[in-house]
Amino acid sequence: MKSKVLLNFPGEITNTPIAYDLVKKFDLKINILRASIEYNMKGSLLLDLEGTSDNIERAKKYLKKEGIIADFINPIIKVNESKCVDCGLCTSVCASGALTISESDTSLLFTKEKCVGCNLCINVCPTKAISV
Amino acid sequence: MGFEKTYDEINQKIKEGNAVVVTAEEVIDIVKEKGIAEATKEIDVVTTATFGPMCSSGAFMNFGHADPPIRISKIFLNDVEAYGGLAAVDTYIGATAESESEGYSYGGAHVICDLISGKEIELRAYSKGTDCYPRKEIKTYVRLKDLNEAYLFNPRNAYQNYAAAINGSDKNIKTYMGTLLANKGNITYCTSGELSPLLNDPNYRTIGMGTKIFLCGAEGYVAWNGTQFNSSSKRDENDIPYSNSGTLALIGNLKEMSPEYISPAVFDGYGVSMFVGVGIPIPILDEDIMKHVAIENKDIYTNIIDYSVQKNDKPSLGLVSYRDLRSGSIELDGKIIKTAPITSMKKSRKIANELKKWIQDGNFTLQEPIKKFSLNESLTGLEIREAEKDEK
Repeated sequence: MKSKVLLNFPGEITNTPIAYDLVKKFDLKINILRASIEYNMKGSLLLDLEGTSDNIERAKKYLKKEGIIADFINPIIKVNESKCVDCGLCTSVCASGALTISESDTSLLFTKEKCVGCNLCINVCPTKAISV
Repeated sequence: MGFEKTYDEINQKIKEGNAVVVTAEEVIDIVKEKGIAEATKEIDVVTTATFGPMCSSGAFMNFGHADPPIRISKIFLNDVEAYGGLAAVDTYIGATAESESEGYSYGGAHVICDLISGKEIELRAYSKGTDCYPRKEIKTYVRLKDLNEAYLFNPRNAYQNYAAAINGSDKNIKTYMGTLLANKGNITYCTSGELSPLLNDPNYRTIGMGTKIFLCGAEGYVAWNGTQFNSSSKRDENDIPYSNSGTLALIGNLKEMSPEYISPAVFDGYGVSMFVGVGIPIPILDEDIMKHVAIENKDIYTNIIDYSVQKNDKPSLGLVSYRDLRSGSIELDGKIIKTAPITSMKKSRKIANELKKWIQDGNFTLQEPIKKFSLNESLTGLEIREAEKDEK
């Protein structure tokens, strides 16, 4: 099972090695997509998590216990192919590179695994072909 | 001058099913392999195409008379206002008009495309009533097949080139070129480059008034030069303008169009527009024409314009080629910036290939322009001034 999650850390636990724990304690494969710490030590971490569903569930409980707000990003966008005209305007706001125009046949390609669920493309699409 | 062909010779070959037709993308490699002279002899027609949002579009229609009849002066189609200043039951609906109740999520472009898709449209209209047209109000439903005439007549389509858009401010802005991210966060551009009609005939030798074209799946015509026709804008050594230049006014029968080649477009925070599919055949009459259709994206440049400057004259941040724009990112002042198209290359290619098939099958012959466009036209702006005192 694979899931994308945005972790928000209160300032007092930003020094806890959460990523290390997720790997060691729950055998999760993690890919850090974005990490930041603000001036008041509040932090956020955007991760791809991969592991058994059981381990992901256990990890969720652990995160909650540690006082971390874990926002699991599940609603991945859908592209309605009958409405899409393959113009490519959605790719202009897709920072993660999930939406691209294929070099070979110039179709719109959606790579689900790269989507971070920001949903910026939904309003940008001129034919309203993208929804969650 | 080398080898030459006439329209009649090419049309004869089309009718016999012997015409050699390729798209403006396919011709590039053929010319590289065989050279201009040989390719000019072998190829009869090159098809060009584009499928992009073109705001200056709309449709004329005639509804026929009710009993008793009405002389319409105010009219709404699916709650989108159309023009009531024509004869009794004629109207023109513009693509960008917005719904009275739904705002810009539904507009004139949607009405036009719903009609093409065979959907029923609510017609609501008002009049002061006259002796010969006594009815003052009407509400009914119509479909495209019920209308006497319905034709797309677009005052400005198929721009010869178009500036790419960027946002130099620190706030995101919403434009007809899409949402432009703050601090030069992205660049959008809107032509089909080496496949685009007027970039393949930069001096308007074969695209002029009366040229027969593919318009949204129907056979259509170039009716006139487009509005804001600016043929005297600066050009490079291949005669390609560096920015917005020539434009076309296009006409075609709505009843023959297909929803595959026309679509409403809604730009977030901006309004309604319409994707229009245009295909134009270029007869290879001589080597000069062949040289121009062999143009490649790497040799076609456009300006990058800062849309955050709220003035008519926006500054250019430099020139960029369509090869670089199409690569997905470019470097500008040391920063890598994502680039994204608005013109659908997939649809453009489909149109170029469909038109190629029509010609190969002998179903579409070429029409020589009855009047050519001038290369010396320029634009004037709108001056805000006091009234001049005309003598009475």
